[in-house]
Amino acid sequence: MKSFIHQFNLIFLVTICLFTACEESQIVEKQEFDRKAFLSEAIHYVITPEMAGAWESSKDLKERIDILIAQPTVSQVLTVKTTWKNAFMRWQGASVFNFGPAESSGLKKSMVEELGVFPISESKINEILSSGVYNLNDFNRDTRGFSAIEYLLYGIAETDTLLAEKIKTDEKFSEYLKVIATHVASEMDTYIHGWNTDTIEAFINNDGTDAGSSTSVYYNEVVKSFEALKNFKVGLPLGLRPGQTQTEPNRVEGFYSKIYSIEALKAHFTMIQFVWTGPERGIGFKEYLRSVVGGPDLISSTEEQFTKVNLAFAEVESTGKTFVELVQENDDRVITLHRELQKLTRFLKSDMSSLMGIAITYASSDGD
Amino acid sequence: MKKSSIDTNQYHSFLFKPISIESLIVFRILFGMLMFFSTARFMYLGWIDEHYIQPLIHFRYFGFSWLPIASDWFIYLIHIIMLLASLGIMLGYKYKTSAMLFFLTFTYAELIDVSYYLNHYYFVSLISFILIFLPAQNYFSVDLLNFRIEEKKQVENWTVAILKFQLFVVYFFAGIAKINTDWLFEALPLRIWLPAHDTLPIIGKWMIYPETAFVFSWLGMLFDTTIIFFLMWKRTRFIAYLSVVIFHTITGLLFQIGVFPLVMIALTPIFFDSKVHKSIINKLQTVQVYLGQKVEPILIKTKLKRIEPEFEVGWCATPYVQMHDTRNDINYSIASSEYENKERVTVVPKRQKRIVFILLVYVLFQLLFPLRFLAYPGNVFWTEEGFRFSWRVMLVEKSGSALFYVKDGKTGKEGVVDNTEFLNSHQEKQLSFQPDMILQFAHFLADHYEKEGVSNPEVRAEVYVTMNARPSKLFINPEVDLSKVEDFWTRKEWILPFSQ
Repeated sequence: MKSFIHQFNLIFLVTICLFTACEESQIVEKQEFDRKAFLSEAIHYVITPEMAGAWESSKDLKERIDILIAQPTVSQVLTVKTTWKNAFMRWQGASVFNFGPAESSGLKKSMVEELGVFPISESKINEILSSGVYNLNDFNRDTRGFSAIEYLLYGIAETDTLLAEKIKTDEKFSEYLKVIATHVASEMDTYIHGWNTDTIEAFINNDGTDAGSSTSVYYNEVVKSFEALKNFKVGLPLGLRPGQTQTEPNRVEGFYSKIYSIEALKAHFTMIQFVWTGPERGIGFKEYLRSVVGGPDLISSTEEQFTKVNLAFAEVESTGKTFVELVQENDDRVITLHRELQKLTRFLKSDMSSLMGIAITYASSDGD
Repeated sequence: MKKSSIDTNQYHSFLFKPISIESLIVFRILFGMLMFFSTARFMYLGWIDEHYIQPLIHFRYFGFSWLPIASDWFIYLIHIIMLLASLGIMLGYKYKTSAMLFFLTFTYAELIDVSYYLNHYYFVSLISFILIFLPAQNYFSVDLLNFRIEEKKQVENWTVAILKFQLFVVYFFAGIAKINTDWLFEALPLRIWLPAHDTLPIIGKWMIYPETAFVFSWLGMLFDTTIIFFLMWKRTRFIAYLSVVIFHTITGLLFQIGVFPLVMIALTPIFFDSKVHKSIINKLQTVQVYLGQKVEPILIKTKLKRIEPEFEVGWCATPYVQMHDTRNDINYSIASSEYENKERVTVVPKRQKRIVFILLVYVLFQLLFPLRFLAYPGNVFWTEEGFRFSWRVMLVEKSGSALFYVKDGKTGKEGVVDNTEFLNSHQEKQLSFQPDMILQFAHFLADHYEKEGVSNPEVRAEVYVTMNARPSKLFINPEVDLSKVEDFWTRKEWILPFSQ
């Protein structure tokens, strides 16, 4: 047994030598990152301002629609359409933050599922418009939300004059328009006010990295939002799912207003990039990555890919065509955009979570 | 010849020498208790629904795809049986049946979906399998009170030794798996994992230093490879057990590993002296007496009598004759020279021969199976060929993105699959770096889309994997039509080699 102890001592000494040797040969810095500060900046400078912006513009839209119903003129129609566009763009940004007060609870689904459904069901809405019977709490989420308002504003009357006329004469139509605009505004109201002092403080203090921690939830939702953008807003209309035999332009978000689709898509993507980069002087996920092993490499590959995606966007915008047209024509530039978005996936999804050591699922993982 | 006969003697007397039964009893009680807790926790967390009912598809273990997938009520029933069986093990109530039921239900539940594979589940299956064959009900059990069986104070040594061996296998293989450059010289993956835990109380502030990761890596390796020896050696046993407790408490705090730390803390005391176990049982008996439960065990007056062994002549020289004490149900071995002085006949009771044979097979399997990765070319951490059932625990940080493309063989139109349409997040994560799961999913997609009207579907996958913080690399050949590839033990040629 004595010799065993000696042997062990020897092993131990060798170990210590090796250990100190590697310490000297490698310049390793401590990996310090203040997740509390990161979360605090995120909630104060990114999440709540964006949510508040979307809420205010939806409130604006609702008020403008009220005015339009009171005075159904072409100029009021034009004002409503402008406010709708603004609300729709702000919504793109806010939709990235589908957690906290925005997450599903009980029968109520998450914010994006409640308000962001597209394509809407024309037949169901038409049914409501003719019967005047609706229920804002039923499962027909494809009859409400931003895209349903869009359908009423852009998809039914062919001209602004006809729309003003429709509002003047069709009571059921104007009532439903008012109802769903009010619904969107009041829902946004609950989401933004769900972020109060207590929930904000809880968000900042839940600064671990396990599943359910603020960092994990925030990260997960942003990635999910990116995946939804790529799969549902680009891939699906392009007919890129297996089994789809042709393009499906009616699946484009903003199908009725047409001219805003690309802009909306870009707004959505820009918000995701903004979250990754972080506010001007503040801390984003990029800063977080700077502090972890392998982070700098990932930052450069991610930034390179962001640039490529933005170039692809510029190409799409330069066509001067609407997204619906481009999709219909199966334009190479949209295909390229989809491909470049796809290449971003691994950087945002697997590489990033792996390097940051964030737990993304609750299932018990392997252990020693 | 003489020498070998002595060796065989020693080895026989090691396996069959009588030892007191309490070690086995304490092990039985603790194992049953923990399995009850673990199963209850699994149910409480809603994992039956999440793991078995919600998923649209299940990933099967190679060779076990024939096992039917339980219907909703049946999987609940399985877990209720598991729960009751673990109680049965703990109390020693219908012990053999309980152990067998636990083994079957637990193993069946594990075999449903490979995405949930955990080394510690495999460990539980093995232990419960071993327990079926051990006389752990013959003392301090409900079965005794019911006069089902006779009380024994002693058991043959192999019954405890096999459990110790199993624990040795777990730690030792986990330890040697850590002897690799990433773990020892880069402190990876701990340099990734530890900083994420800088918010832990007390030890949290140390986690951001790479030095901490190096210390943890080396200590972890040394701990795993040597701990069993220190537990075996009486002089270091106490301090070794203390380090077991500390080690598993820290890993339990740092990582999401469920009840595993608790299981190891509860089962390693089998290395303690039987005196310790006796005193534990004594304490429990006091409680039992206090509760008025104590029933006098029946006393059977018997005298020592010789059982007629089934003789086998000429196999190996074991100059022993088996004696049986029916009261204590102990087999005594006495030197055959004392019994039959005339000639040195080889006397090995058939039962012992069988036990030796079975133990040998089991031990060899446990020692060789984890080494099967050596038969595959390439880095086992990358290819995952021979990765499972080898005690590679918390060894590598891997993550991947898997894009599946399905092509219509007729029209040539290719589409991209949204994995989340079919997989839950855990399955998706596990699939992204495990080749056999990628293959199974490809087959599923081919079948699924064929039904959806895609003719002669071809499936290929573009999979990028990041390992221990390296930039992600292509994992498999993206040109291969996986729907035409069948899984087998042989090397998967379509896995791309690991490059730094």
